[in-house]
Amino acid sequence: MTDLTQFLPDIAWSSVAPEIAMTVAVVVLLLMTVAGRRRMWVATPMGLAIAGVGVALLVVESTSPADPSLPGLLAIVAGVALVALTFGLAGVPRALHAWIAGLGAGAALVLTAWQIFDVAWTGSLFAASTTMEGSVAMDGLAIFTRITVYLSTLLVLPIGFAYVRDRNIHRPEFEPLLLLSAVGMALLGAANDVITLFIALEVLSIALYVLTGSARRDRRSQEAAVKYFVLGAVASAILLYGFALSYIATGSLELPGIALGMADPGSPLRLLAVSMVLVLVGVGFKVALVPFQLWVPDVYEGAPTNVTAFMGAATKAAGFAAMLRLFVVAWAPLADLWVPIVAVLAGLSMAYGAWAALVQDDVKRLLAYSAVAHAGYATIGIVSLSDAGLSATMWYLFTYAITSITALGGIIAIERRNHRAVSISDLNGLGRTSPALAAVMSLALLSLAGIPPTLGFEGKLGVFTAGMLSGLTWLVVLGVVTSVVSAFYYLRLMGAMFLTDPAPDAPVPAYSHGWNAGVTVAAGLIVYLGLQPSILLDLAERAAVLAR
Amino acid sequence: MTSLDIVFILVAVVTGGAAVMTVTSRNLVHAALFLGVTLAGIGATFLLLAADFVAMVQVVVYLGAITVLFLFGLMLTRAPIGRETLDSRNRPMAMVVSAALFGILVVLIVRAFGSNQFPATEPISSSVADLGMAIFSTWVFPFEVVSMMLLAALVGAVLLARRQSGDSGTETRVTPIREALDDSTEELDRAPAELGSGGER
Amino acid sequence: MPIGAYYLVAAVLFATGLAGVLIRRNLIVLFMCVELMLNAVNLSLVAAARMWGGPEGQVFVFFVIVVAAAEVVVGLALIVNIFFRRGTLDVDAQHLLRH
Repeated sequence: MTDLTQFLPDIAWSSVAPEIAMTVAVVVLLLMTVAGRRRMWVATPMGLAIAGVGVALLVVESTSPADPSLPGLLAIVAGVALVALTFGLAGVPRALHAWIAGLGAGAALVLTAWQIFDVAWTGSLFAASTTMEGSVAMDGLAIFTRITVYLSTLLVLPIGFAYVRDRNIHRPEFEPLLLLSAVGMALLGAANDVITLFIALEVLSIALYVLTGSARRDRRSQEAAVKYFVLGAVASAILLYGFALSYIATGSLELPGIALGMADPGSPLRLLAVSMVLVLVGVGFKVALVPFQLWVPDVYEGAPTNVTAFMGAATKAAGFAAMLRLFVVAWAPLADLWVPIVAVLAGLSMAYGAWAALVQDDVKRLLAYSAVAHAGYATIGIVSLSDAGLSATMWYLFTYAITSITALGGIIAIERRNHRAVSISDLNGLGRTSPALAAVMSLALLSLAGIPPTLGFEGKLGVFTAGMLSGLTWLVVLGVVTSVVSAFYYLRLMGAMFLTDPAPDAPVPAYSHGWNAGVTVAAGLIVYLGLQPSILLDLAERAAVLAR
Repeated sequence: MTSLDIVFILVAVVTGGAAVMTVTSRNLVHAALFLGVTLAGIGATFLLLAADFVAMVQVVVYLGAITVLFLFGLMLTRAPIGRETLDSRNRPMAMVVSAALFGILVVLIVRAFGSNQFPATEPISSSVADLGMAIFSTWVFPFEVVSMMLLAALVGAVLLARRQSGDSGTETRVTPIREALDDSTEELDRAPAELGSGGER
Repeated sequence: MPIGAYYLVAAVLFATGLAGVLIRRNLIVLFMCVELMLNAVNLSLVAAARMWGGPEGQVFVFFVIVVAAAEVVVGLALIVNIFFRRGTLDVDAQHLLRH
């Protein structure tokens, strides 16, 4: 009889604590959906169990009464809140589901903050380590990606709540899929071997395919979902073949191991170069770099707008985190080869995105093309291949996430009354009919254009500085030129809002409490962090540590 | 050349040939059946590589489940047998891209592994026990994440397959907005009474 | 048999699948070609696992098979849905979404 205890894996729950909170929320939501009217009978025992786990954590983990374990306290609060919400919102199950999902995302955000200060902090920099037998990286990139992803989730939930109700596309499965997708994104940012990376990518992709097609009676949404799915499946297969070739060449599935194998002089470098190209195709598809951006306009346009906002903001952050980890950690020995290729893709993305957005009339398609351009800007940080570039990319993705959610939130408000796609002429005279919405939209557009003192300016400043420091002058110049071009079409939207007369039958945009709250917070972040970026920028700068 | 080599060459020819037939066959059902042959051929190759358990999983999951699902899909969509034309606009591009990729791979593989024989020792991974040990110790975390992916696929399939929307709880009032539908693509074809009537009655 | 022969068979399957993805117009057959590509990956991984003498390659194959099964479920649901909406599975017959 062999002693099996030697094989027991080392499981560090703290390294995936936010994901556990989200998963618990998913399970609660699904059980309550199944329970229907008898949801109290599910919520009460679940709430008690969660609070019980909290008490246990307090007893086991707390060193002294003055220093209680934060996850324990949080679990008690969440368990009690779950029961209270279920009784308080008994008549409105949709609101209840949204609140529970928000509770999960909020708990995840708090746990991420706890990870920063209790687990990963060494005083000045993040500590980089791996847990779960090397599968999960616990470093700055993983934690910063979590912040972006969970904050996006928390903003999108209230902003889209009334929208899905008005379009009559709400399903009880909606929130669980959104949360599962967010879990996949967070894990994608933390994955330290190609198996975990691939599975996390599939969790987020499968949930997003379905969410894109969740407007079942809208053919646009259905066609967008099929297009996204087919192209996504092909991209996954290409990515996998890249991983298989790198395993053939190096014999390792862990990212640091791949780098070690590559550094070995006997390794077949040309085969590794082919695998690098295949991986670039697969990841480039997810982050929408030219020439793998073909799906972006159609999917952005067809998906329900709140899904578009979530997808544009959070998927980009997660995809870039995976790209950073793959290229900066695993393919680091081949940097001489991939840096020029990726730099050219970044330049193409910026130029193509800015050029194609110029001629768009549909606002969602316009923002889709601008998303392609923004993928190019974020890539500048990767090809800088420095700590400054690393933190600049993370910071840029955060600023872009907040900004694009605000912009699409504005479109949601207009679309709710129009009940069809929003074209630029629908914005005519918005400054007169609803000045508050026009102001918020303008703020988001200025931030997308990168005009000071908004959040978007801080983001662009970071990546351009990092690019200059690494000698990528041509790329930075191209970035500045395309920024100027893109400022033109953002200003065109603002011109429509403030300089034209409203159409006589123009529908009045619809607001709701959730929308107000979400957009106010997002717009507030754009202004506040635009003026005072140091809080999060410091964090991003210290987060430029990768587990290797 | 040993007898194993001859078996390998036979299996490889059948697998590759069936793959080409899957891609070129104009009859969609035949394409699905050729896909089945390809998958069986790969299962046989796994056996030649001493990966018995993976071969079994390949046969059970791929042949037993996935091929059948494809046939169901073709059946549900009333596959137009023999009508599909292959002259997609990007045919020349497709040929060039895949031929180029294949050419590069052949050159690189032959140069890197052309003469490598298998190591003389038995691979340590051949037993099911070793495989299970690896999955549940080193790779335990991806194994847990797979459960989330299956949950997402399950919930997603439910969302896509269920005919009417509806919460399984009581819904207060929902008023679908019906104005301005001229160039909307949304088909509001359901009676409002259907809403919120999920599993209540 | 040299190990390269197995990799070559996998390369044949991958290139064939890629060509099929680009050529075929029926969505379900297009998706079958994706399965061919995934199987090429599996074959490479099992052969490489034999070459390196470790279990990781075979473990990865299990995960790929599970993912493929989940993808087929969701994908066929989407594809059958769009067929009932649109009446055709021809990828070139895109009516609403511009290229």
